[in-house]
Amino acid sequence: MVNILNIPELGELEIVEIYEYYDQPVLYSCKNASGHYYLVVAAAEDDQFLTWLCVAVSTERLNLIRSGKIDLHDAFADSENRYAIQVRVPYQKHAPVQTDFIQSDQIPEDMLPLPGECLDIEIETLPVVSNVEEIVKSTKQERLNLTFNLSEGPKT
Amino acid sequence: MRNERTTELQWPDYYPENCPPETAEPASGTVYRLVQNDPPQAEDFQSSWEEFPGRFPEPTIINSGVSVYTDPQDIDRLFERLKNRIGHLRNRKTARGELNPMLGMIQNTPSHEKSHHTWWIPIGTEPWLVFKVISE
Repeated sequence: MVNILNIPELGELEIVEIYEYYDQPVLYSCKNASGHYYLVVAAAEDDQFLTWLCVAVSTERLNLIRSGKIDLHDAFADSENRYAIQVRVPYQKHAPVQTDFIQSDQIPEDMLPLPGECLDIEIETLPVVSNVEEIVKSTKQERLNLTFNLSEGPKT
Repeated sequence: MRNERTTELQWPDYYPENCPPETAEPASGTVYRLVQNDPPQAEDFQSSWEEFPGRFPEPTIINSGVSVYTDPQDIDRLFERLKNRIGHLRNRKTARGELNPMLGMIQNTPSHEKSHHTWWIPIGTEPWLVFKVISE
């Protein structure tokens, strides 16, 4: 699909799903040729630029975002690798697209989706979560190992 | 089938072949669009291709048109969601317009909202004159 924000640093991107559309996709997931997923939102505009935010997401985390278990605010403000790519697309012809890395927790609030705003996609189209290490990483939870010795319990 | 009046319309040079598509119909009826300006201005009716020259590798049927909705409830639902999700569109306003065949061609292109239409606007027209902001 050519109707997409391409970010040279990430290689050629292909839209996976469009979550919001107005004149163009304004909130969507995409992936590059090596299969890495990204979540992208149209974040702000001024007289010169439309600014986009792009964060890398694991498949597991993207599924949690899609199902609403992680809200859209935290999808960007609390990203897995702690940074977002800020892409400033100029209105002016021939002006270069500017890309910068920004720490996720330094993104201005007015560029972010509101806290508590969630997607609610019921149809599972992306690979199902299967690796506990990836789940722990994507949700930033601690892993707790428990061992049950059932052989010594009461038998019925 | 396009009528005689609409075949006289002149399209921007950048439009790709077969744009507007044969399935599009002459523009007509009441539509709703999100705009930045009150009253609406020319910049509120730029296609993505015009608004961001150089962003897209090539013009397409989709990025050559603009989004409008025929159901007022659809644009209300959409705008409520966009205000919460999309910083770029948070400060838009809803405008209502009355289209006529001299203002181009439209086609139903459902997205989340079923009444989403893509509207292709010919050169030499002033579509902002038929739109009025109805809510902040």
